[in-house]
Amino acid sequence: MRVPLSWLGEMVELKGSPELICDQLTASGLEAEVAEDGRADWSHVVTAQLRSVERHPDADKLTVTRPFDGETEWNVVCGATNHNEGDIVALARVGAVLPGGFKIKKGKFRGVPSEGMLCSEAELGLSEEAAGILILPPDTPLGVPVGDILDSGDVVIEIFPTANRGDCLSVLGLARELAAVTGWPLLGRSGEPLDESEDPAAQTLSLARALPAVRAGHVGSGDHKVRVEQDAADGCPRYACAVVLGVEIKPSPPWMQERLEAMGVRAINNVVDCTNYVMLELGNPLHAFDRSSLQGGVVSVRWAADGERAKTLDGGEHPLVAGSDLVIADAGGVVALAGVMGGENSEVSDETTVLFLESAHFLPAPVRRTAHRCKLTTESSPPIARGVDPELPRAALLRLIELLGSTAGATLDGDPLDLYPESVTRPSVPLRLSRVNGLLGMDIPDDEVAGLLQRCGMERLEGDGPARWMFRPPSYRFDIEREVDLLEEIARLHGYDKLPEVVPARPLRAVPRQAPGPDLRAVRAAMRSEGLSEAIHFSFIDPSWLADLGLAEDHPWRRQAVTVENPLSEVGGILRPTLLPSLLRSAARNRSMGASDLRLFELRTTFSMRDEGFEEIVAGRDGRPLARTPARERRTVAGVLLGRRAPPSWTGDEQAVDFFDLRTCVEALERLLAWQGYEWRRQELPPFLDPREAAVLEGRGRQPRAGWMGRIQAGVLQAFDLDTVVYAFELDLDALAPKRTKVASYTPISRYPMVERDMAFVVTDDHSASSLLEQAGRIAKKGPKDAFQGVAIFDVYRGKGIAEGARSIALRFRFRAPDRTLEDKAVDSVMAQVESKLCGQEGITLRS
Amino acid sequence: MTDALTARSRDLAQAATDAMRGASGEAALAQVKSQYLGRSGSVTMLLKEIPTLAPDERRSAGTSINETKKQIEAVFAECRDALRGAALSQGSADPIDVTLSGRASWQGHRHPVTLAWNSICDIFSSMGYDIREGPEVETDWHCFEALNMPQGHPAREMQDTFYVSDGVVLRTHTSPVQVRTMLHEDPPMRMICPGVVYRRDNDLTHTPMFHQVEGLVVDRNTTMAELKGTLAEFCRAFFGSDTRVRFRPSYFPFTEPSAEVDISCVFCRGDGCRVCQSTGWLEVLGAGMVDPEVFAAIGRPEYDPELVQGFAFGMGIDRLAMLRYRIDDLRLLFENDIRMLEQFS
Repeated sequence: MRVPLSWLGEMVELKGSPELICDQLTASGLEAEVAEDGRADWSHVVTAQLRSVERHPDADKLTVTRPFDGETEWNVVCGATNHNEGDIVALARVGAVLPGGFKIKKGKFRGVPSEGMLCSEAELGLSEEAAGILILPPDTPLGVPVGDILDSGDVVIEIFPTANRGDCLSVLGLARELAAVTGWPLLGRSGEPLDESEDPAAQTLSLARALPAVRAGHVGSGDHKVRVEQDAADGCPRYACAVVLGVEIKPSPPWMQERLEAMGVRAINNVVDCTNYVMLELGNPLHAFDRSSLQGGVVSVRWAADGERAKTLDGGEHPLVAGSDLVIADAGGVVALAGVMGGENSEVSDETTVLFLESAHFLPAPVRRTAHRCKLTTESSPPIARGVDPELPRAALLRLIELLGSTAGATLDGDPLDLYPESVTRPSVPLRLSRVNGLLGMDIPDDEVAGLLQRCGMERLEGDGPARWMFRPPSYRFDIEREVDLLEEIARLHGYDKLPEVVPARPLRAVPRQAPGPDLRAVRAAMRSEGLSEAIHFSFIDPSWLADLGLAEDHPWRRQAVTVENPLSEVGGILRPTLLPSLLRSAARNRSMGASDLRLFELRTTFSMRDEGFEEIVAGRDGRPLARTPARERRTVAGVLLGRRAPPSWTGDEQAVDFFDLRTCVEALERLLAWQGYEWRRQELPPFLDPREAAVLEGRGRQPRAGWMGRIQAGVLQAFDLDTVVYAFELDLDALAPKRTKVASYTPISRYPMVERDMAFVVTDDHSASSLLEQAGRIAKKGPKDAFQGVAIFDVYRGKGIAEGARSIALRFRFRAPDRTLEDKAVDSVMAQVESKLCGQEGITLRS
Repeated sequence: MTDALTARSRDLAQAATDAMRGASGEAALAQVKSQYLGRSGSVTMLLKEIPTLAPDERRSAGTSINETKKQIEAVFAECRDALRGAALSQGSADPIDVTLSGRASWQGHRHPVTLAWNSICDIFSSMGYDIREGPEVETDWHCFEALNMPQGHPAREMQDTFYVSDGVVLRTHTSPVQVRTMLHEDPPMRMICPGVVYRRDNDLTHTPMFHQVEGLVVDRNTTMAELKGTLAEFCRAFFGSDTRVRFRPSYFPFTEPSAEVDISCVFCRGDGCRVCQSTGWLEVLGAGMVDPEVFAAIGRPEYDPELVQGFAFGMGIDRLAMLRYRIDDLRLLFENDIRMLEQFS
C-alpha cells in the first residue's frame, strides 16, 4: 500500500525524515520504502546571512553580496533587488544541482567572481515565484541544509505488511503502527496530540454512541425511508447505514483526487471517491447505493438463495451458490455481492441525488469465497480478506457522511443506523512474565514489558498476580489472541537487534551427514569420476517430450504420469517419469552453443501415480492423511554421453564414445551399489533405444525393471534436435541401492602360487558373453577346493577363421588355494570339465 | 674315466654359457638354465653318473661338475641382470618434451546447488542435526494445514501453489518433512530437511522449482536467542567468519515470533553495493519460534505445546549458492550450460 506522508502526518506526528520512518517501520516488521520522492534535491543549499550587499561596479542590475554560512563568507553576484544586508537567504553553493538540473559552478559576472547563487522560490522548485530571492525568517539558524527547514514537497512511502497485519492497510492503521513503533503521538481531528490511551478512530466513534443494537431498523424518512434487516449475522456481524439527500454528482476536489492517485486509486466522481477515500483512510470498505433504484424500501443482508444471480458493476453476471455467497438485497433481488462488488442495478449515476450508504463489517471467509469463485477483485475484497476492525463501520460511516457533505452537498436524512446485535469483544490474553525470558532468551524488565504492550494498544486488565498479567488487545489487532502473540509484540517493539546470540549447549551426538537411504554423495562422486557433470532440470516436462521419445499413449510413463492442475505453460504440465528428455534437451542446447563433447548426469526424483490414486491417502484416518507419499517417487540417476571418448589431446587419439564407454559408467554404479537379483537383458527394450546397442536391467523374480542403457534411436535424436550419436542410461536408485550400508569384511590372502589357464571358445551369437562367463565360473568353482579365483574375458575375435554369426571368446581362469600349492593335475581336470560342459552345448566349440 | 667326465662337464659349461649369452629374454634364459640344471638337465644327468665311477674318482669328478654348475649359475645371474637392466632402461633415444600434458580423461563437475546443499548439510550435521527427506508431491494437510495454514488462510497467498489434485500439492516448502518427522520421532529433536520445492512463479528472480533447507529444534527450553546464535554460527561457517547477522521481525504462519534474517553483504562486506541495493545487508533466511499451533496439530503428547518449545528456520539453497559462488542469474542454475558447470569441481 502507498501512503502520502502528508496524509499520514494528519494522524500521527512525524518526528523524523521519510527515510527514518521507513527504517523504523522495517526494523519492527513492517517493510517500508520511499516510493515517490517529491522533495527537490537541495543538497549543497544552505542558509546564509548576507554580511554585505553592494552594487556591482560594472552593472546596474547586479549586486555583489557576501553571504556567510556559519563557517565561510562567500562572494556571490546576484541579479535580484529584494535583498538587504542582514537578510537570511538560501545559498546554493558550488556543486549544488537545483530542480530542473541547473548546476551551480564558479563563475565571473562582468569581471566579479561569484561562488554560488542566492535562490528564489522558483529556483528551489517551491513555487512559480521568481521575482525576488527567498528571504527566510530572521531567527533561522545559519549553515543548515534548507531541506531541514523548508517543506519541499510530498513523499509517498510504500508498505508491504505481512499477511497477519491487515490492520496496517489504511492511513489510520499505519499511523497506529508508526506510533507504537516510535512512541510518536497520534493526532486528533484538529491536529492535537492525543494521550497514549486515546485513538483517532475512537474519537470519531464517540460522536454517536446512541445507535441501537438490534437486528433491524429504519433509516431515512418519507419516500426515502428504508427498512434494513440483518439476516446473516454469521457473515456480517455489523451493518451501519444511512440515507443522505441533495447529492450533486461531480468530480471530487483536487486535493482528494491527488491523494487517491498517490495511493493508486483512480478518481471517478465525488461519491465513489469519498467511499474510496474513507476506506483508504480508516480501512473499512464502504458502498453507496442509488436510493431510488432500491425496490420496496427494504435492504437486507442475507445469504444467497437457490438460483439467484447477480449482475455486477463490471458488467459480469454471476450465478450464486445458496448459503455460500453473502449478498445485499432489496425487494427485487440482489443489489450487491457483500464486500466484493456492487450491483449494476443500484449503481450511482449522474442523476443520483439520494444515497443509501453502507458501512459494514463482513467476515473474511465469505468475501474471499465469493471473490475467488466469481473471479472478482476490487479495492474492498483484499483488505476484508485480511480482516477488518469490527469497531470501524460506525466511524467510517460518519466520516463518509462528513466528506459527502463537504464535497457533494449531501445532508443526512434522519439518523444513521448501526445494527450490531452482538458486539465482538476481544478475548483477554494472559502473559506469564517468566515466558518473556523463557521463550525469547533475553531479559526485559517488567515495567518495560508493560510499556511496550501499552504502546501498541493492549489494555492491561486486572491480573491474576504479579507473575501473570492479563491484556485485552485493541479491536483492530485481530492477530493477537495468544500469549505467544504478546511475546512477539514485546520482542519486536523491544528490538530484535537486542536479541543476544546464544550458542545452544546440548548433549553431543554423532549423526550421519546424509539422510537415510541411498548414498547419494557416493553416487555423485562415482559419476564425476567417470567424467560426468551434474545437471539439474525442472521436474516439469511437457507431455509431448514423452511422445518424442516414441512412447505410445498407453506406455506406463504416459498413462501414470502425475499431472499438475494449474501448470505454467512455459515449463510443462507433468512431473517427469524419466530424466532422459530433460538431459537430451540440455545436450542439444549445449551442442548448439558449441560443445562438441558432453557427459551429463542428473540425480533427481522421478514421479508416477500410484495405482490406487490419491483419494485413499488424502481421506486418511482420523482427519489426517495417510503417511504414505501421495505419488510414487523414485530417486533416479541418468546420464548421457556424446562426442569423443577422451578429451582432444596431442596423442591425436580421437575415437567417438561407444556402448562400452556407457557400460563403464554404469559399471561404476554397479560396483558402488553392488545390486543383487538383477540382470541385463535385451528383451522388451524401450522404444527410444536402438535395439542393436541396448539393454534393460530386469529384476529376477518379482522385482520390477530398474533401469536401461543404450544408444538413443536416430528418430528420437532428431526429435530432440541432436545431430550426433548419444548413449544414455537410467537407474532406479531406490531399487538398486543396498538397503543397509555394507561394511567390508576381510578375507585372508593366500601365500601359495597362482595358476592361470586360458581357454578360447567359438561361440554363436545367440549365446551372450555374460552367460558364457557365468557358466564357466560355475563349473570352475567345482574344481580344487576353495581355489577358484575368477574368470575373465581377455579377447573377443570375429573374422577370418571364425564362422559367420559366431565369435571367438577367450577366457582366462585363475586358481589359487589358501592353504596349499595346487597340483597341475587337479587344475587340468577342472579345465577339462569346463571344456566338455561348455562344448556340450549347441553353438559352443573349443577354438583350435 | 674321471678326465672324460671332467671334459664333458667343461664342454657343458661352455655350451651353457654360449646359449645363455645368446638368450633373447628372461624366459629363454630360464629355459636354457633348466636345460642344463633342471631335474633332467644335462649337468644333473652328469651328476647321476658319479656313482658309476670308482670310489677314489668320485670326489674329483664331483668337484669338477659342481664347478660347472656354479659357473652356469653365475653366467645365468650375469645374463639375467644384463637382460633386466636392458629392459628397465628401455625408452626413447632422445629426451622427451616433458612440458606436454598427460593423457587426458574427462572430468566431471559438481552442480553449484549440490555443492551448497552438501556444505549446508555438513555444517548442520557437525552441530548435531539429523538430516531428513520427504516427498515432493505432498498432501495439503502436511504442507499447509498442520503448519497453521488452514484453507483460506491469507498466508497461503504468500506461496502460490501447484495443485496435483484435490488435497494434493507440490510442496511449497520442506516444512512438511518436519511434520512427518515429528509424527514419528520424539523430542528432543534437531533436524534439517533439504529438498526440492515448487511455487507457481516464473520470472527473473523466481523459478517454479527451487531448493530449500529447513531446520527444526524442539526441546524443553530452546530460546529465540539460541536461534539467533545458531544461525549466526551457520552464516559464519558458510559465508566466512566476519559475517554479521541481523534479525528483522516478520510473519510466518508456523512460527511466532518470526524473523527475516539478513547477513552483512558478502560482496561489499556491508559497505553498500549494487547486489545489496546499497543497504549493506542481504536477506537469506526466514526463522522463528515454532508456533504452538504446529505442535498442537501434531497431536502427540510428546509435543504438548505447554511442555516443549523450539525454533525453525528455512533458507533457499539456490540463493545461498548464488551468493557464495557469485552467480548473478538464477536461470543459469537450471540451464545446465557446460561452460557454467565446468567452473565447479
